[in-house]
Amino acid sequence: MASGNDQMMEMFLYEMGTLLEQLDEVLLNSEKSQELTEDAVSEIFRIMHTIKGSSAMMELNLISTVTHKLEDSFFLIREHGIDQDHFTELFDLMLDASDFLKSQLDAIQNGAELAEENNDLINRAVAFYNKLKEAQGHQTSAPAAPAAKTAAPAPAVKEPAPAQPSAQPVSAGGKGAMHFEIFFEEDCGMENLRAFMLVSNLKAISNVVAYYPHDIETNPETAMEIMVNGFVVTLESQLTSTQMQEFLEKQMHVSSATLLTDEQLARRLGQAADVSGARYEACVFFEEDCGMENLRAFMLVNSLRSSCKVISYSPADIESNPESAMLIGEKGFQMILESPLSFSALQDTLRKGMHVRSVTLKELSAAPAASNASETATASSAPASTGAPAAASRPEKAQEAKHEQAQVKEHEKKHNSVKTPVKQSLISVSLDKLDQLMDLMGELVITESMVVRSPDLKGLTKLDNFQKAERQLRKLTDELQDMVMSIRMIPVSGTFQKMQRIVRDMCRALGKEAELVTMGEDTDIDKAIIDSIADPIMHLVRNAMDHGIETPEERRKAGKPEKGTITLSAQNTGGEILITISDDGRGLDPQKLLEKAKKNGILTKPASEYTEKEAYMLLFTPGFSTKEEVTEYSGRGVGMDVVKKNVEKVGGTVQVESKLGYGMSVILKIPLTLAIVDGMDVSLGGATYTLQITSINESFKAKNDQVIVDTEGNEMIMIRGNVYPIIRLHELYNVPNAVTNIEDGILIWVQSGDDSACLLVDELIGEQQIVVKPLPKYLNRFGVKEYGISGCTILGDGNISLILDVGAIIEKVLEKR
Amino acid sequence: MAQVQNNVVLTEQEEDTMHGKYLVFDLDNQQFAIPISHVIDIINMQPITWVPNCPDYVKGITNLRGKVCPIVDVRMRFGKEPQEYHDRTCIIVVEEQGAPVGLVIDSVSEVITIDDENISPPPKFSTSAEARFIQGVGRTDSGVKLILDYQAVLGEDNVIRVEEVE
Repeated sequence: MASGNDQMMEMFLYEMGTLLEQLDEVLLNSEKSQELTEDAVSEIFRIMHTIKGSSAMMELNLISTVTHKLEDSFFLIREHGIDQDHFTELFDLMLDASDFLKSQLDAIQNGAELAEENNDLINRAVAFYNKLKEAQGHQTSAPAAPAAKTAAPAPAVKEPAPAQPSAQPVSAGGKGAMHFEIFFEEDCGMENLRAFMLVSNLKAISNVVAYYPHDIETNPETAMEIMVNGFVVTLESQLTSTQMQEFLEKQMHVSSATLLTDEQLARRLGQAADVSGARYEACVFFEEDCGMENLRAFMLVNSLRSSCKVISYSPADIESNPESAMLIGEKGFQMILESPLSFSALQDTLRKGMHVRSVTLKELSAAPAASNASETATASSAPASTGAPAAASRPEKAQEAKHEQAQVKEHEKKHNSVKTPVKQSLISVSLDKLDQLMDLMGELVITESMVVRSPDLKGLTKLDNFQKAERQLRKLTDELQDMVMSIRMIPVSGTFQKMQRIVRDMCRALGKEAELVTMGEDTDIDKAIIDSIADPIMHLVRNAMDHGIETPEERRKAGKPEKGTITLSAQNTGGEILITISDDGRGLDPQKLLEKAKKNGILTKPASEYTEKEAYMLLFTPGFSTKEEVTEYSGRGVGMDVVKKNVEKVGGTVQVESKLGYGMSVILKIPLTLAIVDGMDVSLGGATYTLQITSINESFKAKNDQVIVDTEGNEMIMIRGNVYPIIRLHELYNVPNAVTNIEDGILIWVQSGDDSACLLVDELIGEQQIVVKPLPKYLNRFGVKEYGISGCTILGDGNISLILDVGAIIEKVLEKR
Repeated sequence: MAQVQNNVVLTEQEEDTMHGKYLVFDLDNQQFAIPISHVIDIINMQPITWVPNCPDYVKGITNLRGKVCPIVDVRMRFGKEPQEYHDRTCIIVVEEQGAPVGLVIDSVSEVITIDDENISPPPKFSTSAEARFIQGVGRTDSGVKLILDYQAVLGEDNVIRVEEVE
């Protein structure tokens, strides 16, 4: 029992988290563009509504109350729109509410006490709602406003609604009458009975004036109609329309309940009448040589029963009389159908029937009496009129075409007005399971190569089938591997999105103007890494806002635009992810940094010996904080050293670049501990090494006389006018049995940032996608990483290849020289 | 109910059965033992990828069912002459800081039980380099087994570090 609750709570937290993120995104986008689109309003409304519902279920009453109040406001906005004047208040209110909800979420997650009340927020929400209503009051004095609109949200309707005679016609829509269009869950089945039960439930709390379709009790065919077009009910109640809607949506199997205005209702009913009453006469011809036409026809009738009502067909004795096959072959198979489908949809359905060659479809008059008449007429005339089917069909066709057009339009209209609910097709999976999946995948690949390269196969010649199966297996395991990898990768955009909010809040709080520009949000990073770098990024953005960006006056004086820019970018360079946080603020002053560091006693050598870069890195030393006063956002004792620590925890590095007066950027280099990259396999002394394709400029054979040797014996080579050092990998790594003559090996011109060099290896093996795995921790103590080995990968044959980090190799070699 | 109790008893027994059991292996004509509870796996010699800049006794890394596993040659770790690997050469996989590490030994012989009272501390005087990797000495019917302290084998080696610096 407890675990069931836990699970529900987990789901709830997950759902809330996602919804609040969406909410922030919508709010910030709307605030930026200073407009609230219809979509945004419905989105916020939906989010509030969902949170309200699920928090009520979890008995989190405060959350439910707050969201309820906000939902009310958005209901008004959705119905009537909102004035620009209210925007600031609205966004502030909503973002504060979002913060409050998030804090409650955190409290639940950490098992902390939940807030008992938040009257301030609720009062603000109510006040805002009243303000909105007041503003709307002025607007809606226009006579054109439908009665239902104003009547519904106004609690002023005090007189008991049932005082109205219940026999009121549907379309009249008296005071307090509301029309709802209700859709049931897609696969609940028996929609007519569901609707009937809904009506009985409604009768308990309101006065149900009318509903459509009327004959739900007795006519099972209405299930189809309700499924396609929804169920419309008109009722009178003391409840407001929002409450009513809420009530409706809580009912069993109801997927959505929408309030309709009188106009909408009229249109809706008209439309429904059109569609449901539509009778069609269809004449179907089967393919010439399919045979057994009577059985084909019988099957067609059966298959049609799911989507429409087959009233009659001719010949009628297809089941029992095999001779009807001949008849159908000659004259076609006639049917009278009643279907809620549009003309063209029905035509399509018919055409898709097995062995159907051609279909002639004709709509009959909608009135049942008339259709009855025409039904009999066609039934009897069918055999008679066969003499001239071609002549008869011609005028029909013209009519058909017109009709088809009309129907299509109708159809489109319907599609536009009724939004199909987007089905959620995402699931959440625990990372542990994905890790296990990865490991299994690895084992599978190795086992595959064990089978395929089994020594038992040696000497066998006739292996055609085996090889075929092997190729198939390889293809499948490759695909599977790709899939497993891609599951773990998520775009970094979610993390970036959160920063928008921080920048916005800090602009307000600090009286600064700044804009956050994001780039490369669609860069995919392993989920585990994203989680661990979200905090450092947030910290750096705060820091940029607080310490980097100047106040508008300062900026004006410095000749910069008043609005500062913070750029947040992500880039996959192949081996690592570069995340850059840069601002165009005041930049770093190395002198000031050094003074400050001296004062705090964190210098490890005389200040004069510090290079600019080293001075910048002082920022990340524990016990350093450049700003005297502690602000709300940064300088709370958690220094930048935590950023560095967190980044290093995932094996990354931090770099700072700055230009005094022009801003600074912090670059986080995060290794892809688990990522697919394109690699180039090279061989060196019989072993395989892998270089990331992105770090390779080109590879070429060189002649010994092209090599330039300087006075210290360092080798270099000239490529298009520039000289690059040659790095003999076998010397760096002391690899025995490697090619030592440059002419016999191959040079790979590699690049890392601004550094460039040529690596000498034995030969190129080929290109392939590789899975980057970290080196075992045990090897860290031997300084393997500083020697340019950043990780390893398991090759297709189960062997391991070391991944070379070009940047580290160049650094190491230059250091040695 | 009875079944549940049985299960509990079983697991306790299992732990009991693990205790005092040692895997015996040969290394340079000496018999060593390692507590079986520390052993994750015993594998045959398989391809090892050499890693630059590591001491000689670190043979490289290998692929242990999708996990990258460093391989340490215990013989070389003891400072003895390396020997060609043959088809009886084995890798004993132990867990160190949550990750597997393989130890190359000459051959695995058997699993035996050594009672705690038959284990004495290692001799204080250390004549050989391997003395500091010995946890104790176990006496059995089939002779004396040296109990390997694998954590010392995989531990940081300050002595060698200093030599390297010099």
